[in-house]
Amino acid sequence: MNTTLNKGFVSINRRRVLQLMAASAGVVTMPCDLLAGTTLDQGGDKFNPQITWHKTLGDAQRKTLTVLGNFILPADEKSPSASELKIADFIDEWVSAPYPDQQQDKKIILAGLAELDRQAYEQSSEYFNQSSVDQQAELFDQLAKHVQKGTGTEEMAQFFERLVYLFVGGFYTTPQGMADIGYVGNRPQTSFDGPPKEILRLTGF
Amino acid sequence: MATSDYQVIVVGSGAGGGMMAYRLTQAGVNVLMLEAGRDYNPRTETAMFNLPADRGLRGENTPDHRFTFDARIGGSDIPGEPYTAEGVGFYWGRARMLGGRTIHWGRVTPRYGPDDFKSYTRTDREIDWPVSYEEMAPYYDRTEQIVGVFGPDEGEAVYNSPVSPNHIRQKPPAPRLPEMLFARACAGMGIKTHATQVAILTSPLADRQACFYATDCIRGCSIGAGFDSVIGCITPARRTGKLTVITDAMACEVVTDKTGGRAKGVKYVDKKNGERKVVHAKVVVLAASAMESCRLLLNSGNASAPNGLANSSGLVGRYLSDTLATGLSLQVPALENLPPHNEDGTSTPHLYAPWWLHGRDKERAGADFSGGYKMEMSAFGLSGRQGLPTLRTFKPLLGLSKGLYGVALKQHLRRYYGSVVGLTAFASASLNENCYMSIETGKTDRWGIPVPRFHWRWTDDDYRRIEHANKSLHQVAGHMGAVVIEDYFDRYREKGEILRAGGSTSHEVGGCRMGDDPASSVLNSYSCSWDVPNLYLADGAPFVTHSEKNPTLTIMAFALRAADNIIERLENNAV
Repeated sequence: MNTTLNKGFVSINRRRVLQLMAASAGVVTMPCDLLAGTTLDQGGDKFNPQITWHKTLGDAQRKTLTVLGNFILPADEKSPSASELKIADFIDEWVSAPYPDQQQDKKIILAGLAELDRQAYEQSSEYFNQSSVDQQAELFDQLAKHVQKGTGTEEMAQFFERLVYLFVGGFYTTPQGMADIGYVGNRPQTSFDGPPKEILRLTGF
Repeated sequence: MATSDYQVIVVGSGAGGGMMAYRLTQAGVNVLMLEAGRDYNPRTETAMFNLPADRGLRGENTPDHRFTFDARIGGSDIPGEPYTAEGVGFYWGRARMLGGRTIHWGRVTPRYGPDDFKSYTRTDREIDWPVSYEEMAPYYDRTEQIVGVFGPDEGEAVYNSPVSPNHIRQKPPAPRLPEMLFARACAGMGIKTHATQVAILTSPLADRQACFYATDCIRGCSIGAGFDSVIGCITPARRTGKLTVITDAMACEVVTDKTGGRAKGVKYVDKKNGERKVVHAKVVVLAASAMESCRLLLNSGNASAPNGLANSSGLVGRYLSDTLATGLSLQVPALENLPPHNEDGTSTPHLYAPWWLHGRDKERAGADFSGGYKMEMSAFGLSGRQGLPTLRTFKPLLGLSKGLYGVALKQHLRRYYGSVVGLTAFASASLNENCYMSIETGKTDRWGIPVPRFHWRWTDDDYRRIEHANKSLHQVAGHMGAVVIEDYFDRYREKGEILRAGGSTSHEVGGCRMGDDPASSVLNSYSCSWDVPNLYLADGAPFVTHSEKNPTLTIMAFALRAADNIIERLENNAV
């Protein structure tokens, strides 16, 4: 780990971490929280944003994540699959980062991957990424059904939630993902005239 | 320049300090500005079109602020600069950069209204300011001409929410679709909405470009469309050759003469080497933020002012206030599955509902509390509309899709993207003797400066107001045909904190209130100390009461008024 990264690292108490998590939970990004929280810049360069840590996942873990990513976001007529956009790389970057939130996610993700291995091994004496595609799909579908019905363990529900959150977030922040979801902004305009006529018609204005 | 050549020292470079320096230097006054943070240039340091995927962790914030694009330097937890709090607690958001908190703010700039300045006389509540709206109107006009504010047509103004004259305001951008739905819902409830007053240019002003309706304003604005103190005030002030700025200069004391009744200058810590230095001038202006200025005065006591400088009334640090806020997250079926269209606009609500209940209407509505609140759609960070996707954009959408994956998940996200929005109410706070600052005994920060202790308790009046606001938001949601997916009022109530810690809205004001009587106020109506006649305040500290309106425009208007008074007294050798 790069030591300079931690130089200005600020410890924040647990209560504050929970508040920040709560604050980020909904879409009402309460304008109030703009300055709450901790930030002192390191003279960080906003235009050369290289990460300074090594990715830490092993080959097997990355393979499993790649498989899971394609279950979560397969290719369809509007956009490619998660593996084509290398989203598992982003997950590796995320869980390897030396910050409290990401370290917490790392625990959840690694525990979930280990549990999938255990379940696969129990069924076929093979680890998850050596199992057949059908078996893998079956195991993942079981997990999703448990989440839908609230019948599984809390750990696996958390694993599913974080996994989907990170794959979706990683995917739809790429140019291909943004095109799929229909984000067409971030380009300068000479005026802002409100919704186009077709939208007004569709919404009864 | 020798320090004795400065006529005025301004502590702080934010909204108040910037406006003060701008006006003084235009009049030829030599000004020295001290800023506790580092030098900052929004023209060259703002990431404008960069995408989250261009950065580590998709641009999410981390404790070391390494990957986010947002402009803030500072926050409530600054290493080595602690504070303490009791009661419901306090978030002390402090900027440590040139421009202060104007680099990173919502830029909503309404005027205070006639009832806000004279609430005792006109509504039999709270107490009066020593000035009326009519007296302040010309200063609001001048401030808006310097800052550049878009807003509604003057014919649309509602009671007690004055707007700029048409020859001064800039034309507002059109509302976005969710805002149109909000306005329609409000109209259905008999509540008027109109364009928000916002310090963002829609036409060029001086060397500042008009907004191009893209990029997140919280990153700052390199083209100068969104007002900040550096591009809008400090840069033109520097051009006069009359302004000297020292950054990394943490003021720690107002230095007085032997009598203790006259300010001689300011002592500050040079953060680059820890040395203490003193600078002198004829006039000292504190614009360090309401809380930092109160702390400075309480830390500047002397033999003749044992309870802090300018504090013979005992009111320095007293009657602090902040804006109350509550909100809902909504899922709006009418916004599902719409064809892609550009909804960036500005990062600030394009329209809002000013407080609408007054006099008999207020009584009839059972609104049994002082002041009021305004309602708007939250727009910060652009999430929830068809905005720039970040990781957080998808959190509420995934909350609607338990266990979904595969092509079905992709279809779900396409359907709901842009259909989750926020609805927020901002409320006034009651005049409150239980919100005040003291100095923590025996505790200093890394610069050796005694730290403040915040005492904060809301009143029953505040609870009633915010409960009423929450009900109104639910009614608006109902009229929009929306599903409430998150209720912040309920969430805080579960934690036993219906109202959040003081300072949570970053609208903290008060602590050196102005008035007509030295026994019951700290400053006269020109923001000048009764006790120390060459000491002025030019931040939120002079506020007497706090309405539901965002305070920044009023801070700047009073800074301008104080600057006029300083110029006049310097010219007449009366200071």
